[in-house]
Amino acid sequence: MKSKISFFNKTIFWKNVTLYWPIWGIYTLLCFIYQPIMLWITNNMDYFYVGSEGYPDARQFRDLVDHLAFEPYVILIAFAALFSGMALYSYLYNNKSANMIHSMPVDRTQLYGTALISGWAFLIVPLFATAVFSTVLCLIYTIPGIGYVWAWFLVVAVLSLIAFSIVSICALFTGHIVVLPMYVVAVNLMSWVVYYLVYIVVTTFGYGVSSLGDGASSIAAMLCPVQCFYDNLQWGYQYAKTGEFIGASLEGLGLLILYAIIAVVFYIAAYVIYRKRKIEQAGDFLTVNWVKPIFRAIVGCIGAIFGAMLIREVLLEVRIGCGVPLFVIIMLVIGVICYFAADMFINKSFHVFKKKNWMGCGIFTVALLVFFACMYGAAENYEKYVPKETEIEMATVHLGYEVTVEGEAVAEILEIHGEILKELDMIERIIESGDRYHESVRISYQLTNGEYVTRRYQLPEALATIQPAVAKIVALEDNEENFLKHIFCEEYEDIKFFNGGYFEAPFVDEEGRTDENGYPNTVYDSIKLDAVQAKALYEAVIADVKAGTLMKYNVYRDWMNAEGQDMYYKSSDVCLSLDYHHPQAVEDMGTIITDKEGATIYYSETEYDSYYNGDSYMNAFVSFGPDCENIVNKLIEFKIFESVEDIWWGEAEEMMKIEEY
Amino acid sequence: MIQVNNVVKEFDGFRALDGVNMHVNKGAIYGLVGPNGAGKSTIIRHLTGVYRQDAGEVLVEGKEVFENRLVKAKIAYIPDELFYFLQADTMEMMRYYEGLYPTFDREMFFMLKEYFPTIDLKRNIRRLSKGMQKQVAFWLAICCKPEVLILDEPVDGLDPVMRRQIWSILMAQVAEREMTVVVSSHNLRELEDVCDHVGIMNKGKVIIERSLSDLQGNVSKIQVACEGEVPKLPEGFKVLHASNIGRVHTLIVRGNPEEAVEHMKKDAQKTIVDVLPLSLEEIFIYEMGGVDYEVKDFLL
Repeated sequence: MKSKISFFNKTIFWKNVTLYWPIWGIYTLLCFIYQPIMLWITNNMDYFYVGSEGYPDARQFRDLVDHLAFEPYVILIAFAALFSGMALYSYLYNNKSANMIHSMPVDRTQLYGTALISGWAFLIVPLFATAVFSTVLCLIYTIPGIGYVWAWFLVVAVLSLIAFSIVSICALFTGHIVVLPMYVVAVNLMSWVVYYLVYIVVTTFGYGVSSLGDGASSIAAMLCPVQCFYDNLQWGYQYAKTGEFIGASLEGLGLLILYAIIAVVFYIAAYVIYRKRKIEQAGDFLTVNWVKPIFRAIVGCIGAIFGAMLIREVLLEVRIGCGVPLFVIIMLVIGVICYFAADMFINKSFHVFKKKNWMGCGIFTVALLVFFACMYGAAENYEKYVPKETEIEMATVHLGYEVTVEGEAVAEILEIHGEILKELDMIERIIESGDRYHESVRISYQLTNGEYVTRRYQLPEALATIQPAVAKIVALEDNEENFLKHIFCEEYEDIKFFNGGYFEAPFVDEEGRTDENGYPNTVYDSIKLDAVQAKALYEAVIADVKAGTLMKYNVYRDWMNAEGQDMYYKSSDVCLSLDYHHPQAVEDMGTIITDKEGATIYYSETEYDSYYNGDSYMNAFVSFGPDCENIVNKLIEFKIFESVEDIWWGEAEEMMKIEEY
Repeated sequence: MIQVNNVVKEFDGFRALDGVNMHVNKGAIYGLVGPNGAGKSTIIRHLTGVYRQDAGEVLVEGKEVFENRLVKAKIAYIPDELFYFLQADTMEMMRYYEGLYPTFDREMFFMLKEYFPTIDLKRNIRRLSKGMQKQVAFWLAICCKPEVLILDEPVDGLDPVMRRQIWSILMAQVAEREMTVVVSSHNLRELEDVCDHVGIMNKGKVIIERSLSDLQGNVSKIQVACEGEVPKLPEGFKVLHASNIGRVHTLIVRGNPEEAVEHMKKDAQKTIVDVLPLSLEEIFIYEMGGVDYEVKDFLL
């Protein structure tokens, strides 16, 4: 009251500070732990390791930027904003406190303004202190890059404003303190919930459709604020040609600005809601009346589709089956139950089955049917959709392994896809009848606009009309070039630098090949290979591929080859692991290595960790059997073993005997 | 000082206030009485600016109360359920009130300490007894030096000595500063001692609003001892309640009691007629009986 400022009250601000200081204290401590304290430890440890020779500036600089990472602060700020909001808006969630505060000589503008300033102070002051301490450490240890510390501060300060805007609007939508964190989580996950709603309907009713495309999941990730910032707000490290760290660029700034604008809208909306709020709604689940039907509909819809999908899975598991009409009935029943359950939460009463509510429920049911019909229609469209040849950058087909083609060869995969689509109804019928003899085929297209289209089909062996399409896929996989690209990488002929590798196998024990029970007497060993040996074995691998002896050990495919002969996979416990470096490999994006132009030259199914200072080492893992003469002879030449008898070849050995027999 | 005009308030379709009209003069002590659920606390929350009315107006000195900081600065409110901040002691709450109320008198706060000797200023208020918490509420509210003091069930939990002490402080404030007091209570005997005006609420309406002396003068209890029928009352008199034990008849009537006695004595010989004063509690009971509020004879 004494304050001349109409949107701020000093007394309430100090009450907030003195009452909720533990939240502030813990948050400050956590901010300090990750940055100044860790920075101090890193600098001291590095001094310890490098001794008196000094700590290179570039390394100090990179260590500093490492500690200025945004990921931990995105999480920390999200939690701190939530707890601050729960504390600062707690007076609205209890009749006694709400009545007392609102009877005093303050208006809602002052209360809201003071809550915001308190929240911002709670979140930003510790970050400011963190930046100050980090700056002091930079000065003490002469670390270059103080500007980065303050750029970091500006970014996390804006992040704090965004996080508190979400908490503020959620806080004013509810009258219950326990519901507030639920709303904050819902705001963050809503995009993914909607994504998965559409995803499960489209992939369930669109046969072969296995994804909605990267675009849809990217949008869902962008609309999830915490995930969006966690994934996109980062420093892009820059290195000189010598490999020295020279600086970092801030990535994700556009998203930060976009969300900052949304935050302003949230703050204004929260203020309007507060102005209209009825204080007697303290303790209510939802305080904004027009949102109540929307809330009921959302809960009903989510419950209906996920619940129906769960029951469908159970029915399929027990072989009862679940067609579209039955699915719709189950969906509507669960939807109505969830609709009234949501109403029970809103009204804090079990007496919700009133005439007025049944009318609302009727409208909801119609809306749910329309929503489902739209998604079902989308599923049908997805099912039939094949991109045009001109839209495709690369096409991939995967039966036994992944074969990727570009240019004119794309037409071949489109043709295979077309043949499968022609038989789709028959395929669906056979698969739904419980047929267990089928092969999984994946066809995917990378489009020129960067999108991916992926389809997965179960192709029944019993369906003769699908065999020509399968034979075409097998022919593609039997192609030596494709298989060598699968083992090594694109442009495998250019591989020049080998780092070495390992030969891993069960060696036959001195006691004999088998024990008295016929089990193998073996000792598994891993033998290091040097660069020269690795290069020689690389050439031996190519020779064995060309000799047609290697594929069966590396491709899991219970099908026949192009000539209609069975090509069963042969399991072998003997393998080579060759490390090499491709001269074109410059970019490492986790599991994908690209060349300078960004084209993928290597893909690993596991996270690749050999990346350092711009070098990307790749790994070829090759299983082989005793009939792979080139590799076997090379290993004998290197005196790794003396004859094929020294190795227990596992199933491969048994298969060989059968074939010889 | 306070004007409530046709105020309507609904909670989820339930009409808690149904066109309330209420007028409180400056310096008056206005007792708001009514049965449970009549809407007393609801109208008080409108008077303090907590609730926004659906229709009508709530004015203090001619200005709307809701969201009006300047008007609310003149009002101190002691609710039926008190709220103190977590961990706060009396000194912290005093500083809070001091920061919010421009008229808060710190000297008065320390001066009044002798009236509240059991309150430890440094002790967490939430750990004090209910009665002591109430004492703190009065202490802080008085120090705000409000022009209007609004009390909802104010003396619940206070011991008789402390009640009397607090009322004497309040009466002094009313006398000195012409402070207006609106007090809602079920303790009608206590209100009778302090109020000069009374408003009776029922079913979301103020059904009677009068000075206490008018109210007491207008309704009276007449005991008649006679043989046979009870003598007739003059026209215009309304019998609110009638009962008899043997030959003694008790009538609660609305109208001038002296005129009634004179008329009854003329009407029948050998009749003993006596007028007894009615307490506020009795007036409340009989008035409520007149608006379909069930009153049992055993209450008499």
